[in-house]
Amino acid sequence: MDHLAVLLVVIPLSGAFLVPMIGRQGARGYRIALGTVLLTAACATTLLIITARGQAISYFVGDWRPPWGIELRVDAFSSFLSFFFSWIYVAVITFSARDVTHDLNPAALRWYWSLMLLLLAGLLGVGSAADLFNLFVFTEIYSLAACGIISVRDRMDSLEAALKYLLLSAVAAGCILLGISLIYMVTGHLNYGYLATALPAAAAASPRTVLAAVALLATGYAMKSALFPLHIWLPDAHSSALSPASAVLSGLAVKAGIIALFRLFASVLSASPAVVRAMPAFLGVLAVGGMIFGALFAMTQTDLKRMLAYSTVVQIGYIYLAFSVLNPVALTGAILHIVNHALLKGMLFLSAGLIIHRTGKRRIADLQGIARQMPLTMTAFTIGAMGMVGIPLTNGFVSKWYMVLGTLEAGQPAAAVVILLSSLLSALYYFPLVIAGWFGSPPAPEPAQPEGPPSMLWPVLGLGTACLILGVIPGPAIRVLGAAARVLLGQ
Amino acid sequence: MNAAAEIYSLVPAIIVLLPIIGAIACYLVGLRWPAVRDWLSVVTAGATAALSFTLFPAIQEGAVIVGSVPILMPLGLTFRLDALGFLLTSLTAVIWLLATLYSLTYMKGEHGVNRYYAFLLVTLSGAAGTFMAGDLFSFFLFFELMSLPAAVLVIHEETPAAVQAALKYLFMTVAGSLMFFFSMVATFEMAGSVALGGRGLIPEASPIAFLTFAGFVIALGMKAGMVPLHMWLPDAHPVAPSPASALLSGIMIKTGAYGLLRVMYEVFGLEFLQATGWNNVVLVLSVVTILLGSAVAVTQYDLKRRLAYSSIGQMGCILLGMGLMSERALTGDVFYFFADAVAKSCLFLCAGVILKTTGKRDIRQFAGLGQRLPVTMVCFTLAALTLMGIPPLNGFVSKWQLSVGAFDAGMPGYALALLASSMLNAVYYLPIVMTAFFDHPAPAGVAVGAAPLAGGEERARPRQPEASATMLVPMLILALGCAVFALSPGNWPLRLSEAAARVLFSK
Amino acid sequence: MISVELFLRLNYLAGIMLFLIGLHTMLTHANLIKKVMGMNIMETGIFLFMVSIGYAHGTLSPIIRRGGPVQGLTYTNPLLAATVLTGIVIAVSTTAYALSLIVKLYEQCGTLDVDRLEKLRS
Repeated sequence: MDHLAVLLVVIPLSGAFLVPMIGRQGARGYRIALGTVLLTAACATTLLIITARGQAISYFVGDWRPPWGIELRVDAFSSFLSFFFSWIYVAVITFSARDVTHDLNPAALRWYWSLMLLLLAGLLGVGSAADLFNLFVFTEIYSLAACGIISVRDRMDSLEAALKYLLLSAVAAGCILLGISLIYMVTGHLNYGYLATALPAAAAASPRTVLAAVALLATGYAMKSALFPLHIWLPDAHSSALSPASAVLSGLAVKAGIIALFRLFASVLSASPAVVRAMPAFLGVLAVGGMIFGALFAMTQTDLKRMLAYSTVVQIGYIYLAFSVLNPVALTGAILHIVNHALLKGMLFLSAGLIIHRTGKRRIADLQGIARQMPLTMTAFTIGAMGMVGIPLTNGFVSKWYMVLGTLEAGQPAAAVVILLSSLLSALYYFPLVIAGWFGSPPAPEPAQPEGPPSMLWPVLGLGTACLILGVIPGPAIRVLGAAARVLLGQ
Repeated sequence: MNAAAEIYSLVPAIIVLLPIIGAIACYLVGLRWPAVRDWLSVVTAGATAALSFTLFPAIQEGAVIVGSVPILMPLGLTFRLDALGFLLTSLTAVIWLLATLYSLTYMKGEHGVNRYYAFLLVTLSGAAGTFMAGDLFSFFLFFELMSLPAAVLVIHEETPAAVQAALKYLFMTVAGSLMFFFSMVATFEMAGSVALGGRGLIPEASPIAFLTFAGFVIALGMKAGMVPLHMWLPDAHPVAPSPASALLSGIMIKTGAYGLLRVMYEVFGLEFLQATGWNNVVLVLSVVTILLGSAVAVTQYDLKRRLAYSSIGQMGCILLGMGLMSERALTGDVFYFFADAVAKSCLFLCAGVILKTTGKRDIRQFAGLGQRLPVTMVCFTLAALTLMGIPPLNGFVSKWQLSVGAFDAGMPGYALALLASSMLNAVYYLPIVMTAFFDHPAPAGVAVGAAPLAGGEERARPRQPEASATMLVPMLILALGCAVFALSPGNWPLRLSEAAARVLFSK
Repeated sequence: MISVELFLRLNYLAGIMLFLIGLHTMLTHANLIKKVMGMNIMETGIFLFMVSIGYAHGTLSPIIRRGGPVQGLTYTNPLLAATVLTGIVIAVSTTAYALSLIVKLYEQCGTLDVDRLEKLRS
């Protein structure tokens, strides 16, 4: 049973190596990738069932025990996220089959599958790493894979976006590594558990070093997760990637930095003095900037995918803001919003991808009356837009409920007001698009054609259904998340 | 009446669910058999109305019907139906039935009819649910279920003006719902519960409590068309198809006022508001709403726009009634909901007939309509007289109670506002009636009035009946409704209003 | 002993200085190759810093002969050496990847200047 914890990472990692070796021709790469992802999803599902009540599974690599050995640890928090991440991946890989073969040459195709799997391995690893250094290694794995997926489309804007992302990501990696070494310097530990016990004494002895380390870690991961104003790489990177890749990058990859920070600040560093605890509050202030300015930028975009990318900046702000008050209710909302945004933004990028695949249109102004050709896609897009605004019966509403409740419980009505204001701004850039799509008059009558291949339509609809299910019956998810939030806060 | 015997029943849940199932069925059936779809939607609305009336005996005995569906959403759905809720729910279902019946002819040959009927039923579900909600959370859910699909009704014509109006409506609705959301969460945070039906949830006055109150007033006032948050209303209501306008103006804006009523009496509570004096906020805004809404209505020459502004004026009276905090005023207030809903839907349906048969929207061109469309204009006149408060019609009964309530509450000045409302109503309704009945149509080619609005040419078909039966019957029923209840001795809507006011005051 | 103390401090100082120099180069220079060089300098600084943490003056390399650790002798911390090795692997692969991207970009656009690339895009 313990092996499941490591299999979660090992399965996609081995898939990533298998594809370039034996998946060279035809659809074999796709089949291997899909099989791998399904296997990972099954593994994550089992883990979720085991850990849903709050206990954790630890795996010691090579049976070397901490403090020296490497530990992988899956608890309710990481299994909840792994479950959704891997199932979203199933949808994205299914969607890719038709979309990507259209855009990439066969030689680049197998690298695409390989990098997608590598990205998944990195993301799941970030959730299950139990020491700082492995957290760093997995962070780098997913960052490099993410850059690779952007640049796999051999075009100038993709290459430039990938390079920009890579260089900023390297700066972030430098900050993180320096932060980790400073922490190790004062505590002598990297494993989360040992760190939590050793940190209070170390922080009392050398408070400034600990503060510097925490600041470096926060900067690094904030940059990886595109927290305002460190988000400058995101719009280029996410809009120039292939649509399914954008779905994964925007829906899942940016969350890895948040997951790492949640873990560090909510449990590992929470024993340390007030000055360290003040860091989330500082991140919360930046989050407010992201929620307002991201929304303003999103409103001025003319390109559909760029608008969606800026909307990600806004949603990241929500998560950080809810996290910054550090209480269980808000944290429940924040974790739920990680998942909800992953589902919603994944679906939005996939439906944008379907629209681009089918009509070649990606300018917002060209989408007038698009629903006449693609009603199902537009339905999914509408659900996504409503989820982003937080309309009841969509999952976005549930996470917003907990986030607002949590911020009010923490005595910060101003934060609640900002969350709601930003929702209103979301309505301002999503709803005109939806209205234009449904009720605008198309420039020229289009011949009746099927909306898209089923392998592209079904993932979009599947994610839409998941959004509605989580919105209408959130009970089970909330129960698991309650356990996850308590685990995370060490209660 | 024994106090608040609670009967557990899931009939309210079925009342909400039925139209949604009907909407889906209508949409699917309508793809192939439009005629079946038309009648299916009527049957669904009728069944909903019938179902709501099955609860009448229990309500009459003073019972409260409760029900819950715990699995949905973070807090679960609860229903709570008392006299007030019952009056409005059954009214909603009946008016929806009439509007759907009216639509059968009105919408014939229009585009997107399938969508129209489906969304009409979804909004019915939302509106009925709003009146039956047992807690703020359920209220919010149904409020949204009504408000957002209503945007599709507003945008139905798909003209640039309709799209603009719908966007404005949508943004203000979302802004309002976010305000409501904030206040709801804040209430939950302060009181630990959002259940309605008590004597007040908020424990003590504090800045955050006032913020909560303000959020509720803004959110619900926006829906109710309260000045200065009414901007969406005069744009949205006229562009919708007439039966939809009737529902928007007749019922949907009432949900905002209804929500505010519940919030004031059951979330904050009578003593709380009397102690803090926060109800004065509502009072002042309501007087502004009455005066401004009615005054602007006088300046409008597009019939549907004039009716929309008139709705704003009437909502002012309703808001005034709940702000007065006296039992008599509240009785009049609840009856006003009823009176205005019936009269205003009737007026919009009449406007629909006028628009459909003559293509005219500009009231300066209405000369001779009294001869041309006698039944329509008589209905119009009756409904207009109701809103002016001419005895012995419904409007008089409610305004009388309201005015007496204002004296009861020791604030006789507000009775003047009601008087002003009646007079302004007369100023903008009577000319329409006078023109229609007593003016002779100008010879063709000569413009009447300064700058006539874009109106179609008169289609000269003098021997034709003025409209089909499915259009005339709903209008006639509503017009009779304006008069019959006030004249009949067993005025059960008034009895229910009294019961509702008594319950809210003496729990 | 003062000189030794100073020497040990210099290690840390040099690591941080290299980190800052590298960071500065990455953020301020428009030339892509210089950015990559800055990245490497920055990473070298971190590695120097990390190795210095593990080292204590007068300790032996952590190679233990048959018979176990000798009483009275102290060893350097091997964990940091191992992590630095991993770090170097990551740094090298990042550099290689960045350089290959730069080559591709240069082939397509004929420039290494970030500002001119930005102009070419829009």
